[in-house]
Amino acid sequence: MAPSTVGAQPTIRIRATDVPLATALAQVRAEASLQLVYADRLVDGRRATCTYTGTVPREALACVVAGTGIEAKQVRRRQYVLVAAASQEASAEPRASLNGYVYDADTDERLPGAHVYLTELRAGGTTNRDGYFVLSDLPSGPYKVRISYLGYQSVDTTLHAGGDPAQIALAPAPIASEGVVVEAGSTRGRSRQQLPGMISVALGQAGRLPSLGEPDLFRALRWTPGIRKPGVLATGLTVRGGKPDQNLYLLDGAPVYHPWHAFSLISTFQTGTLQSTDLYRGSLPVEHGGRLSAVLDAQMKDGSRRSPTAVAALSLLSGRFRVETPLTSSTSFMLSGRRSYIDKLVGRRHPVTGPDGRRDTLRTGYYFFDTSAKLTHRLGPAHRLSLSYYHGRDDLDLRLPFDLSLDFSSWLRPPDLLFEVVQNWDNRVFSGQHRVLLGDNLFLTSTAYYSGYRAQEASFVQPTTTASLASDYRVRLSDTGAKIHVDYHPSMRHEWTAGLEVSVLQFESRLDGELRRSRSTVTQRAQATDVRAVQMAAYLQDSWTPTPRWTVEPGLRASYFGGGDHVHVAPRLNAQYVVDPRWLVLEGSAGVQVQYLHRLRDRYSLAYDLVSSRWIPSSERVAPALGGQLGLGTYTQLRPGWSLEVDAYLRSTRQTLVPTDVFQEKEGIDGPGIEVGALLGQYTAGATRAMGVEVRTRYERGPWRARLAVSGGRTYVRAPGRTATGSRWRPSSLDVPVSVRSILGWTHGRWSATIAAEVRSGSPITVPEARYRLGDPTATEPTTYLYRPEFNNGRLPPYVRLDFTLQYAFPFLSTDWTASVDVFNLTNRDNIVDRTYRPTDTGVAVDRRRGLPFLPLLELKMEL
Amino acid sequence: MDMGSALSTAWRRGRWVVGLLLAGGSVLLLGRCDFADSAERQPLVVEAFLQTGASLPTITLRQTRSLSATDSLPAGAARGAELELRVHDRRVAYREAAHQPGRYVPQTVASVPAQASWRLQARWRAETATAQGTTPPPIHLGEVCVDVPPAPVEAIRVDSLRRDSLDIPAEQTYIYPVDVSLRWPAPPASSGGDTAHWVRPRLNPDTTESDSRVVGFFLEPVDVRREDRFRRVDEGHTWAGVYAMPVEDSTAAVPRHRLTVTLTRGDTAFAAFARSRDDPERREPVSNVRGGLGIATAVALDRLQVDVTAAGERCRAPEQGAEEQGAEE
Repeated sequence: MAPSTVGAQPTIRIRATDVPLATALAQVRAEASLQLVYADRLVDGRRATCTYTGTVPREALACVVAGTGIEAKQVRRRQYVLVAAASQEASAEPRASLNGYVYDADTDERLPGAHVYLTELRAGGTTNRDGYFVLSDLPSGPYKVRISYLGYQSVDTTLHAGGDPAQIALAPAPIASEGVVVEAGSTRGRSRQQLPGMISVALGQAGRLPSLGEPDLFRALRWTPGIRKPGVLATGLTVRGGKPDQNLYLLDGAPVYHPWHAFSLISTFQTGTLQSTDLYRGSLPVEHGGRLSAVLDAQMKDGSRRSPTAVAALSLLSGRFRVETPLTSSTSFMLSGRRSYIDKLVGRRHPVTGPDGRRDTLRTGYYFFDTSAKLTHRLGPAHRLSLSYYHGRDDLDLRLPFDLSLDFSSWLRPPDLLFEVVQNWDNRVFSGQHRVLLGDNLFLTSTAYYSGYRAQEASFVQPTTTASLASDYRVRLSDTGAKIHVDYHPSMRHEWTAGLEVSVLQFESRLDGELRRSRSTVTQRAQATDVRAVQMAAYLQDSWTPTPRWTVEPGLRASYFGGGDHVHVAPRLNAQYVVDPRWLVLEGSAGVQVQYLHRLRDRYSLAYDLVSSRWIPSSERVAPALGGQLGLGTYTQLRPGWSLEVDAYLRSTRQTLVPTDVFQEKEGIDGPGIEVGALLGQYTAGATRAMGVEVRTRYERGPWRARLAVSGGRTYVRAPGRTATGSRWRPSSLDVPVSVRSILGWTHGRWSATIAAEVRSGSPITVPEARYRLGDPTATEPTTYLYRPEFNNGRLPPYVRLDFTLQYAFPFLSTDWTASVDVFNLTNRDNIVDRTYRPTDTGVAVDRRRGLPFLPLLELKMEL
Repeated sequence: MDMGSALSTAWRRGRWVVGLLLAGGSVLLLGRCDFADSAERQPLVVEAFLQTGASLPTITLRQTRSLSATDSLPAGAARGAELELRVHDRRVAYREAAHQPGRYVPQTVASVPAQASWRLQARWRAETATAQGTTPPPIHLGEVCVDVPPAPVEAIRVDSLRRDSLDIPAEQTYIYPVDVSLRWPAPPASSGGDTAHWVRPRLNPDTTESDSRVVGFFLEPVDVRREDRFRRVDEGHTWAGVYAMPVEDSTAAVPRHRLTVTLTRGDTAFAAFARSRDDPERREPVSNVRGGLGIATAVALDRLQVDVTAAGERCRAPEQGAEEQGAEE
């Protein structure tokens, strides 16, 4: 007897003499640890005889099926499908693909990201952007398939490998069982897009989450762990402690550089216009790059192919509409628009006349609007072309005296001392996408886009009759690019993804100003910058499924940036292990990201760079920011209707631009100007590190749905600077150690109610620890200062807020109506959102700034 | 049921409890962790300004005081320190002045030479604070012109946005915006030229200035720039600043006051200090003292006082501009 060695194959012993084939297969399944898939009718009535002693499972199986008229075909390692033995010619035929399209039964819109799961093989995949799926290299024949998609009723059916592409329609789930609001992780099959921290947003249900009177994507996202607004007046989202400029927002493949309305109160993304939205938190798929923290990938609706639909709604903020209609049997169209109307109520221009007959026109204009349109034409069953357009704009136009008291008669006349503020910004995006299926296994997506961002900040301020500031600051960014993306499915084991991207970026800014301090002291400034750069990226990834339990995705993304000729190769690796398909899936990822653009703001002048986003590209002087992230995730179904997800992450970045002087804030009317060198002089290359754990559990039963999200994490930053605090690791201003968010929803008949609570650690602040006095050679008395040895050494009180939403749906005049009431800060809690300290001769005085109070908001929606 | 099956069943039933406990515990544990590097506390505050051409300076040492300390700030003197100054490798001993706790006077009578290296070391209790640098070349004010407008101008005093309530209307007032221009010769090239030094021109009237925040944005009573960034005129530089004197009404005459014009030349440490010292509500000045707080630097300084009494433009040439002179009509 040979000595046993580590790793030796166990001996397989089969003894079967004229036994039912099913019995023999059970024996070989147990002895050889094989997964065997077959139809019962195939083996019924067949008998097997086999004597085998050895260590090769394949040979043991071949022994059992020998002479039975059945053939075993390997699908993956230790996994076989039994089919009726074919003739020699037939057996030489190549294996077949099981493919098809999944679409909405009501609108005929293709559904990206739907799960297609072969229940017997316990394997599957997801549909791509065009709703297409393919499971390659399968033995020809029928397969039981389950197709499921978030917010739709699942379908169980039988599809034939080798047949024509299947057309599978999913019906939207009834409201009472719509399920979870967001979905991450999956036990229903391998999914190329499931990464730790990835979230697919159920857009149809975002409207039930508390918001500011109308459904808003970014407000809905803030109820997920790790995502929040960085500050009351700050722009953007912070994802797991990352800076807002480290997020990439994509709309139909085109980047949107400033997706905010109303001074960051709401986003430009209307949930009603979107077909799908995926958010990747840290672990980015290989086709996405250029940012360190997160990618939001949104696709607009194609428009219904079945029948026209129209939606109109009016909230306290804005009015909006959406129309979807088929134009022909192969062409559909979606158009939506939204506009605020407060300027229509208050009026934009107010002519006034003084007692002396002098005339002037005061201005109080503010509005925002956005328009989305998409035209989709199907050139054939596997051939589609879509054109998308988005334009959003905010416009503030004020000309007012400094006196704005409620005593209108005291100032509603031509003013001598006044200020004018003109602030506007807009995004304009054109995108064309062409998708074609070449054969069964090769899917090609081509995208061309233009994304333009433009902002203006003009002001005229006259605080005395001889002093004034006239300033006009403009920023423009244009991004024109093209992408080619290929999905190739050679077999069930492998799925290759490759792509190429090219974009041309242009950054322009201009400042014209005249600062008149007195009659004779006048400073004029005229500056302009124009920077261009070419960016290219290529990527390749293999989704390898060696066994039904394991999926490994090694990938590589190489990029080139023309400014400074920077070249980087960023490897990525994702893995998924299915412990038990019913209750536990483990996911892990590791990746490197490169960011070539930095969004910076002048830290001195109040005359410009207040609301606009100014991006500075990498160059010979500015290195790109680099980041690496490790992610771990797991998903488990605790009980029917009750799920638990846990994600952990560890992120490190370097060469991110951090203020050189953290205490420097905009405080004067004059600044160093807009030249890139002057701006870069205010920043230094720093490093950050962040780590965290996020736990989310969801429960649904009957009319009730509940969610609880708990996240704990820390974010630290280190940067050499003018102050001694710079060289040490200190909490980032975005550091929030603990955050708890919960949602309890109830739906019954026409009524729906949601109550949501947020409890989190207060934001970091810098707290003085002592005071001291210090003189100056030209001062007669020393000045008292506060000693702040550490930046962000303290924390505001915990932030606690309760929001509430109540909806009532009713029919009226053959139309479906929905009335909503959103209540922000239901308990009217005084949350402290900032705290400042002033030195006094005897100590320190503390000033506190409070958050928004109780705020009820209404919306009425009509749907035809 | 065997032991293995029992354990398996128990795990399956209780796994969610274990999972929740582990996950929740991890979140709370991580949220409570602090990975920040702690800062070294600096209780000794140094105030030392060596002035080129002047006597060795008195140096003040203070200690930081608790925010809740109720004693008066002069009690914050750092008493009993050992202090040593080296100028051009010449050691100068200091001792604490009698009846002036925290103020240290030199034991040697000497003046501070130009372009001389210096080093200061102060030991107090367990603290040792050091600073070093080079003295700048002397600076001399040239022509100073003061231009007062013939009549006050209307100005906003408190705008509505600064009020707690919109029930209170904004306040307007009248001010005399006073333009002051001054010149000074560039430093000799042997001192490193004007790219190595920073200059701070400053206007200090001896009466109440305008307290309007919005008007304050437009005034410029002080500026700090690298010397070569000032406008060049002939062999020197020029600068124009503005300060404002509030008056009661549109017919009021300009308040008689004395204006002190100072011109200070220093190094980068002085510039960082000077640029960051005027906003004590938000920050403390940038320190160049190792092991302590405060400022220890060398400056060159010239000063001129002008009595401003009436509208119109008046200029003072260097030969006329001795200190305490310049009375106008």
